[in-house]
Amino acid sequence: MSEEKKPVEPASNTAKPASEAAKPTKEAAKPTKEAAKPTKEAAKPAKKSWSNPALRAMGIPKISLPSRNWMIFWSVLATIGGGIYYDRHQQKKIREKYTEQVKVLGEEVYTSNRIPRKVTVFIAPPPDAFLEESLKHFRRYVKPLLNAAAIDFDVYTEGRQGEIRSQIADRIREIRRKALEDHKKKEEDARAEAYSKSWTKFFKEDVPNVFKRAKEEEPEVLVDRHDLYSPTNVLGLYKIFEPLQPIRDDETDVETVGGIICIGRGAYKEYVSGVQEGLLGPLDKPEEKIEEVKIESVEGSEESSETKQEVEIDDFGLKDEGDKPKQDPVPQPYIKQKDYQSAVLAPELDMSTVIRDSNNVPVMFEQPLYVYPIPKLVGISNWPRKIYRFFTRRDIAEDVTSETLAIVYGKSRPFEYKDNFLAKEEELNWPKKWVERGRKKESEWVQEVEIDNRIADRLRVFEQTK
Amino acid sequence: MFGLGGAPQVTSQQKIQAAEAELDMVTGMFNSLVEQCHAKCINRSYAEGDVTKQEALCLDRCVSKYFETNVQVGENMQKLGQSGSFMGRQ
Repeated sequence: MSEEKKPVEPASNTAKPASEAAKPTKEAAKPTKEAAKPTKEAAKPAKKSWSNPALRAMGIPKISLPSRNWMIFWSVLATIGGGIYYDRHQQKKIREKYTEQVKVLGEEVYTSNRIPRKVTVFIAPPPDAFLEESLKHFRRYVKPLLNAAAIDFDVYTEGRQGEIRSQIADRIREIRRKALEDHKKKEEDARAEAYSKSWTKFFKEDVPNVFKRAKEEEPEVLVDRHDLYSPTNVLGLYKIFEPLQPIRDDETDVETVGGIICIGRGAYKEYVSGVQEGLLGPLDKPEEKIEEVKIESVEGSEESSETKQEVEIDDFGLKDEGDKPKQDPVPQPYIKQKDYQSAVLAPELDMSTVIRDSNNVPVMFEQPLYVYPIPKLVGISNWPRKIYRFFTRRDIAEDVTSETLAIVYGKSRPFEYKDNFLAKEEELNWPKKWVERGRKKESEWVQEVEIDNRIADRLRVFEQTK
Repeated sequence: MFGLGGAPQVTSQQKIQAAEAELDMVTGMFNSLVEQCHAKCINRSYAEGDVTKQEALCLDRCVSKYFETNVQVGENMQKLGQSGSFMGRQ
């Protein structure tokens, strides 16, 4: 004890002259404070500290607790830092737990002619925010599992409202157009065949040809190189080996094929309206709509300037504005939601069977879907919740990652009415101003999801059954 | 290649040289592709004689990415060559 106290005195002795040296200047400046100072110094207790002659000899000063303020600073820092670290650590553990679980799927021995299952991911930014937010959600909680289970994926993102919808609709229309062409071609072939077998052809062409052939030879016809041979014919390799015919995992089992993942309620809405537009809408862009718009703008010419300004406000945050060239506007839907009921369901396609594309993989709307809400909060009143969520992200990680298992294992069930409200909880947190603006613009994001029964019958939803 | 310097008269000798250069380039590209995708995708412990699903998927993606990049780089080089600003030539 005596040793402990000793070093205090020299320290306080050295401290005093310093304060005394400082005093005269302060006395000159503020004589009123002089009275308060001595009492304060006397009240200050000697700092508790500990030292050792050996340590002192090494040049290590006395060890003591930091002052009150420093203690507050360090403890706050340690709490926040520790909270973040612990949360991260737990997230990592959760991720590892699930990736370990699905890793077995990726370790299957694979022959080189097989192509693994592929899911399609649609990512839309949350309202008034950057795309990065949704991408992060995908990257953190969904992608690790897909990678571990060796599931291929295609990511489609959008920077403006309606891009996903118009793309999906385009793709479905493309499928329909192709089906129409195939159908026409088949009919023509059948007609040609019937003609070649018929008596009319025999008398009209075959009989005269017999006499003609002796006289003239057939003229030389130029054929496109691509019709004669393909690059695989030229490669000597395929003279020895049969070229590989890839087998897709998606072809085999209709129940677990592919999958559609929508990140965000908005992406889901766009997906659904895209599919309906593609299947129920006309194949070509309707012309009347443009006239309608024109008439409207003539009527409300005063309003037009206002509406123009509103249009320029973006739905989402955009990263690099400024010198970017102006993009074409997103095409309007070919069919309105209210017309769905009366529209004919894709007459070109045989809807009694599963529709497949050229790779023999069932097309988009035949694949099961899943929707993730984006946990995004806005506004000052939400800050406490935001902070709480920031420190308990492991809960989100656990929820989202365990939900992803259903996709990985391909467990799905038929679409039900309640699935109209998939990820609906996200809408509660959408900024009100943004929603209002959307209503004015008749944005599809603020409309309710309505799925035509004929299409809803075809859809499937991923769900883990226990 | 890369659209650099269009020769006005091409003899058969030059044609053969060009073909050789082309072949060299293709072979070089193929070799570096195999090397890189092997380094990236194949598990070095070689526990399995065959490729696993994970490795197969990785290889598929690696190769397609490589080709895509190659095409894009080629296109850009061609553009540079045409504009004549390649390697500081103005």
